[in-house]
Amino acid sequence: MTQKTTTPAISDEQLLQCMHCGMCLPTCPTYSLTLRERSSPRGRIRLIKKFSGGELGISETFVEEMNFCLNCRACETACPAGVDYHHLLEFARVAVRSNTKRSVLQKLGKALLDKLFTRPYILKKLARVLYFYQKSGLERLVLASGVLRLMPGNLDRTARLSPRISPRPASEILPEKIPAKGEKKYTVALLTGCVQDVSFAEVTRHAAEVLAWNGCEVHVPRGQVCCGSLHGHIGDLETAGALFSRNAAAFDVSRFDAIIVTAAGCGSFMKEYRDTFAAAGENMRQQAEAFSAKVRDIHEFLAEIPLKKPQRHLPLTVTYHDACHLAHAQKITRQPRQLLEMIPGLTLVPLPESTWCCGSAGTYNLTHPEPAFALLERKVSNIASTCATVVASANPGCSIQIAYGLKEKGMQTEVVHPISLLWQAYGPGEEKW
Amino acid sequence: MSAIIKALQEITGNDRVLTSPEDLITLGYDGTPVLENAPLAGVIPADAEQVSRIMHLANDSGTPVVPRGSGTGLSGGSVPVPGSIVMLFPRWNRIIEIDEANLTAKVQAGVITADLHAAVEQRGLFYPPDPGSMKICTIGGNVAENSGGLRGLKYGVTANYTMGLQVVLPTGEIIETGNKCVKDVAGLRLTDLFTGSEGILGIFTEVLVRLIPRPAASKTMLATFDRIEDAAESVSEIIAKKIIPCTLEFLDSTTIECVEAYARIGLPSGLAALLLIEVDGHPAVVAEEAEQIVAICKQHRALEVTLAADAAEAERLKTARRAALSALARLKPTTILEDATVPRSEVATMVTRIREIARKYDLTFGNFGHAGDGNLHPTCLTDERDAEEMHRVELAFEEIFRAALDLGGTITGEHGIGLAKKQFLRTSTPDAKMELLQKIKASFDPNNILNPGKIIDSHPRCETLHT
Ligand SMILES: Cc1cc2nc3c(=O)[nH]c(=O)nc-3n(C[C@H](O)[C@H](O)[C@H](O)COP(=O)(O)OP(=O)(O)OC[C@H]3O[C@@H](n4cnc5c(N)ncnc54)[C@H](O)[C@@H]3O)c2cc1C
Ligand code: SF4
Ligand code: SF4
Repeated sequence: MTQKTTTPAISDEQLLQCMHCGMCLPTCPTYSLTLRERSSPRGRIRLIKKFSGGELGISETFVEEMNFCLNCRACETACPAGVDYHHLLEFARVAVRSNTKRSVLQKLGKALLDKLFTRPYILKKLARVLYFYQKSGLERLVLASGVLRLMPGNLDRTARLSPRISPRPASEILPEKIPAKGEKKYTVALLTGCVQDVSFAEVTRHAAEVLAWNGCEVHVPRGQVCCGSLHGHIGDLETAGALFSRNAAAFDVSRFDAIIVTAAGCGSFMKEYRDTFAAAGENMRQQAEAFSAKVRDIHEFLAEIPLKKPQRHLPLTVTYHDACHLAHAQKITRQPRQLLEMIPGLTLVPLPESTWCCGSAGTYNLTHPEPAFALLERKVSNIASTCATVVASANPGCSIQIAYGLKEKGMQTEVVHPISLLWQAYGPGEEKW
Repeated sequence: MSAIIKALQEITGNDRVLTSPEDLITLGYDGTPVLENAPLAGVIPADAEQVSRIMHLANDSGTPVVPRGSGTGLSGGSVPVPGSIVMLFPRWNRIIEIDEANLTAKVQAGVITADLHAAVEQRGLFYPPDPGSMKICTIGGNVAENSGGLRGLKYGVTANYTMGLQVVLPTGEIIETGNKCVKDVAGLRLTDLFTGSEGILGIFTEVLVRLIPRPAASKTMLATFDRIEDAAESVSEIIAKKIIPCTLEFLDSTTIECVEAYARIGLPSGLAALLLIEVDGHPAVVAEEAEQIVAICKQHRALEVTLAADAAEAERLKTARRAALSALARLKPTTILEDATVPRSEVATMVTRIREIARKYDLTFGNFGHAGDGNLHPTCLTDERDAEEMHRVELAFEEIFRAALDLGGTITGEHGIGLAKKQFLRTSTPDAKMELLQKIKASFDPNNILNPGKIIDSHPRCETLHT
């Protein structure tokens, strides 16, 4: 079924691109925590260079540094020399993965990632269970009992961090085709995603409606699966490739003006299918090229087309958190703010260090709780300094992480996707995001 | 485990001694191309007392010590010598005091330059030295290199703001030089001797800096040219008209394109040169000088002269300029930048000479720099794996240095000698002066254990540290 993916190679040119100036150091969250050169972008690049040249083996410290990195890509934004950091990192991670024995626990985690995200029905079933668990009050009981704290690892925190489950996944509540309101100007496809599908179903619905109201015929292709980013980022290109192939079959890309994504992490990974699978077979390479060319982040797309003016007043003070995979990976910072500023009555206040990672970073908050929560604290105190009542965040991982951090601090600030705010400003009014 | 490492651990505690290959590899370089060497160990002292004990240990065992700030140096100053201990100051980032009555600040040596800027500017004060690397380089490194920056033309360099130091001597004694007095002639001016000493005369633990009031107003301008000579002549004319802008930076076409590719500030393509100019001071004077500068640039056939709309736009332009060196690295695998400096009246001649030399050796150069103070950064875009081309690069730089010296200039204006320019220093310096440098080094560091082999070879017969 799946086509063979090949380990991405890196060239000397890519490694030599780094002229070790250090301009990226002050933007690196892990360097800020340790102030140690080896946990800086410049340090990691040098380690990868030594590894690639055969002068350094895959030691425990090497593995540790490669995994300590958040892959937030702030260093890429900072780097004047245009170093493609994440490719170097992903190369190293693939090497680490294929060279190290995994612990039983890691294997379990991997099995879960494989099973859950490659078989949407299991994820949906699990989501139903979680939904009732959360709704029934059982969750509060369990959390309050503190029983999870007695369990190994970070189960307690993991439970508190688990996403709020939507009553029904977006892929079920949305029809396969939503007609444009008024004149049809574009035909677009919408990614429902995996985590997004079951825990942020409303965001996907809001996106579909905002698009339809602005002249888009919105398709929600059945048979679509997880984009594969969670697997790709930990170096499992095999599974990521299998997922891509299924998405390539589900989305008939030539029919669409754009494939719209509402989650920053998925969007950035899908835009990079073309690089990730560049070394794969010709067929897959071409498919990836065509797919990536159509992927658009929802904010990016909306900012490119003429929009109807939202009419409803939302008298809110909002601050915007830049998800790493929007700001650093896709260089999208202006458009979400632009959309928020269109909303009548809404005051957008700047967030200090808005492009600084919140510590969520895929599954990083579960694998590296300490640095993740140090970064979260920094994010939360920055949010507190703005006095905003709403934080707009366009990535499910960030939203879960930040909401958790705010709650732990006893803050009332809500975390909302920018598109949900926009939807509300367009919308009928009875429903709050 | 070696005895040295054990002894270091006894002084600082185990977690402050770094020995893993991954740590050592990543302490082996600074911002200088090609140079690299892993040390024996890294050590993070907690205070001056520990620095002193480490120096005693180093003397007793004959182990070289290399101080390292953030490793952004461009002459190899903090690149470890074989078998050395690299001394690090990562948590030495405390601003100890800002004295508004005396206009001074006392900081630990590891304070990041831009953090000091932010702290004093909050109080209406100003610390002018602003190297392009200011968001990451340390004050200790700045003092050791006597660093300049974009504001050097009007405000001078780090030495003009260093009033005093706490220094651990190579032999372990802790001394203080200078004080908060504006006037002080007691003894030799040791502070000045330490400033620019590239980590070979002592280890700075605290620095007392001079502050000035923050300028009330500023205006930033961008002038574009389609002939490089027009830009150079505008620079000379501005200075000749007795206007001293705070910043007067020059970028040539190659640099402009790389900077634009990174910063996307909307520069048109096909420009031959660009000047980034800032005037600051009293609002009335600022307005008048800005007007004069616009007129001068226009007289010299500037294509366009635009004023930054607000402080944020001015900052964007300056940030883009600060990225110039690293942005040039986009084009070729290896970027070798030089620092030749001439009296400011000779900038136009020097720019032309550099272009001729680049053509002669068939090399690609980007050229930019602090044109207003004669400090240019001709940067060769090359490939370290191509031995034949690297040979031509060497020849070209030799000629550039000779040209600078012939025009009454120097081989380095702000990046220092370190390892990278040692040979040029020796060949361009009379023996008597070289000997004096060696005597000074020997009197501070009789065992030659502090950053040995940088700037000069202390034991002239021992040539082991050649690069
Ligand atoms: C992109 C870029 C732009 C730059 N722009 C400029 C510029 O505009 N102007 C300019 O002048 N330079 C510039 N530089 C060069 C460099 O940033 C400066 O030389 C800076 O002062 C070095 O600081 P550092 O903390 O990185 O020191 P390092 O590079 O770590 O060390 C530099 C020297 O200082 C010594 N040293 C460090 N700390 C101490 C201490 N506590 N006590 C004693 N010795 C010590 C080291 O041994 C070494 O010899 C630039 C560099 C880069 C990469
Ligand atoms: S990654 Fe870029 S910014 Fe960082 S050290 Fe390398 S060249 Fe400089
Ligand atoms: S991706 Fe983020 S954490 Fe990793 S090196 Fe770059 S800035 Fe640091």
